[in-house]
Amino acid sequence: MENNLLFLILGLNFWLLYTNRISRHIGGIAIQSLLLGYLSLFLAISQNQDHFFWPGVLTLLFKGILVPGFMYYILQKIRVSDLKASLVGPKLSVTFGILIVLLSYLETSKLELIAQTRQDYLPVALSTFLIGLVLMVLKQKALLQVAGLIVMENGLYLLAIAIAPNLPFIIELGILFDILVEVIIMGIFIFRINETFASSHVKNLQNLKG
Amino acid sequence: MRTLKRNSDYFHYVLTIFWLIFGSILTYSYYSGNFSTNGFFLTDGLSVYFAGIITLIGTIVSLATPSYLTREEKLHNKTFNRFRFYLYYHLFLATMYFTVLVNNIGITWVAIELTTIVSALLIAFHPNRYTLEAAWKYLIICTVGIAFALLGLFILYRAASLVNPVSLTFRFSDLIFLKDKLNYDLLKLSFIFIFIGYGTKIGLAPMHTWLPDAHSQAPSPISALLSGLLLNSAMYALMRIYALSHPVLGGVSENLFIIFGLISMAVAIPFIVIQKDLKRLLAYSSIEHMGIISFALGVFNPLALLGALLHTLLHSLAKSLAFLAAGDIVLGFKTRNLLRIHGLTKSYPLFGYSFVFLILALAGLPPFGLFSSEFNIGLGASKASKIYPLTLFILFISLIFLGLIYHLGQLGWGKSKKRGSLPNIPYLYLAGIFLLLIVGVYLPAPLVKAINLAVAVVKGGLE
Repeated sequence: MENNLLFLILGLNFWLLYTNRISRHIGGIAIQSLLLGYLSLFLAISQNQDHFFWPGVLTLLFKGILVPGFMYYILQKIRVSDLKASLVGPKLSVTFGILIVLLSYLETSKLELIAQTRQDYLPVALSTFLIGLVLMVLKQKALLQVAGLIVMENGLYLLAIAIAPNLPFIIELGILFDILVEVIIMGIFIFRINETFASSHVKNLQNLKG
Repeated sequence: MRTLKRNSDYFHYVLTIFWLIFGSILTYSYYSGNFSTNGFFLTDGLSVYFAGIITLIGTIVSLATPSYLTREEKLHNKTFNRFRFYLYYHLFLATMYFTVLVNNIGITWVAIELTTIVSALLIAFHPNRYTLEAAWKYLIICTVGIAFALLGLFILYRAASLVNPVSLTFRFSDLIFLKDKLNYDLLKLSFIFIFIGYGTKIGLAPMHTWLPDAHSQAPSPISALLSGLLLNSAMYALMRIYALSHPVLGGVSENLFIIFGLISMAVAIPFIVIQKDLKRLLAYSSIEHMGIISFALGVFNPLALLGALLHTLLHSLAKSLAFLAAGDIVLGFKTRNLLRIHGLTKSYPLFGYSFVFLILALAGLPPFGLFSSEFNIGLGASKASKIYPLTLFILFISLIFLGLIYHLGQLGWGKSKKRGSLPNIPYLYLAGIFLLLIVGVYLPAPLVKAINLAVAVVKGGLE
């Protein structure tokens, strides 16, 4: 069960690398966050690890429902340009993803001390984090960058499950709250960018130099 | 509309007085030995020192803000929603106080993220092409950077829970007891991630790319807070991690600080020399000064650490005043292009000379305090026999000094062009220059005591 969930979470990253449609990205991060919340609840209930319960519920609520819902609301309100949305094509993006996954497996297999709990979570967590980073660099629309950020945070959440399982709840709460506020603020900025430049393409944001 | 404006100003002054009283009581009661806590909040030498800096600079900038807004409104001939501005402004101050006073280093991370969010709103307070670009870059780059720091914090937590598997909190005051026992490999990995993460927020090169944009596009009082306080808050968070990691990591962590510090100084040089934008000039100078502080932390002996913390205070003071003065100039001349701002000392003698002196103080000219802190850092480095880094350090400082002097010649003494209006008697700047001079000539004993308490924390002491 755990492994299936991890596999799905990893697989969704590739879908996000492949596609450039904003609506698909919003769906993708929603599903990924829901899977993550489900994984957390699964661990809490089936393995009696109660401290995963509330973070799981909040992940479902915040990252699975509220954040994608808000992003979808923004998408309805702004004009989305047809300009090139990614710096490189889908095939090259997916190749980057594969390289990252290979690298993550190689690197994390060396770390023996970390490996005392949940060894198989580590490569998935690391590659999700790094693929989120790649998404933020490659994708050239503001909303896609926000989606990349959520993917990065999902990777961090998996890492927290793997190596810091008894992290105090208040920190998890703070992190999730931060993400929610951050996405709302970014949404406000996307509205303003869209008003000012008549598009939310990041190519417009290259005036300041030196 | 006018009553709303006046009421907003009252709201601002009431909160300013509140922060002043809060900060004064906190610092006074801590340094007189009546009060210290390590529960949810932590007051020790380091946090109270930084809270004191926030109080000092925050009060100065708060005093200058309403008149700046009035002049800006007059220039653009329209009114802003001042209440919203003040609301964000004081939220920003509150998040910075929270950053330096909270005990749990995970919550410190959350607080730093909150400072990013609030200050991005302030940077793009007047939304236009440039401010929006600056704020968006700032949000994206700092969020990604900070995500790396969180990765590092998780690994740090792992390292700590290997030592103490039961009931581990993430409080600094608890973790410091484990500092000698943490696993070397895990700690190294975590420290590198945290260094990159918080280093992005500090503005260390090559993660500094957001800094000149954000600091130059923000309204000038906000630039003053960003340069004077926000960079410090991030530096504070990194110093905490440093205090935890240094006992085990030793030279590895020191070298990171030295290398990134020197890179930051080197990167700032060309941009300072060829700069055409007054506020960007000051922003690059901030990168340089953060590099100096980072270098000093890397040297890690009492002299250099004293220099680092003294430099933090004095840079905050000089840079925030310089940004406020730059704001006056930009409003008065209606441009921030250095080629079009000439002859300040001729047209506006008192204001012009105080601006010149502020820039000289930032450049590190001897009678000013920043010279003595830089001198201490250099002396510390030579005692630690770090000869090559010290040579580069002195070389970079001299080059930047020359660059600033070059700009100063045109700014202060070029062909005089009287435009707009600048404040006749800049009391705040004069007071600030006076303070900078006093500290440069003679270090007051209470300040030395406060700095030594802070140094003790960085060196891994428990009090």
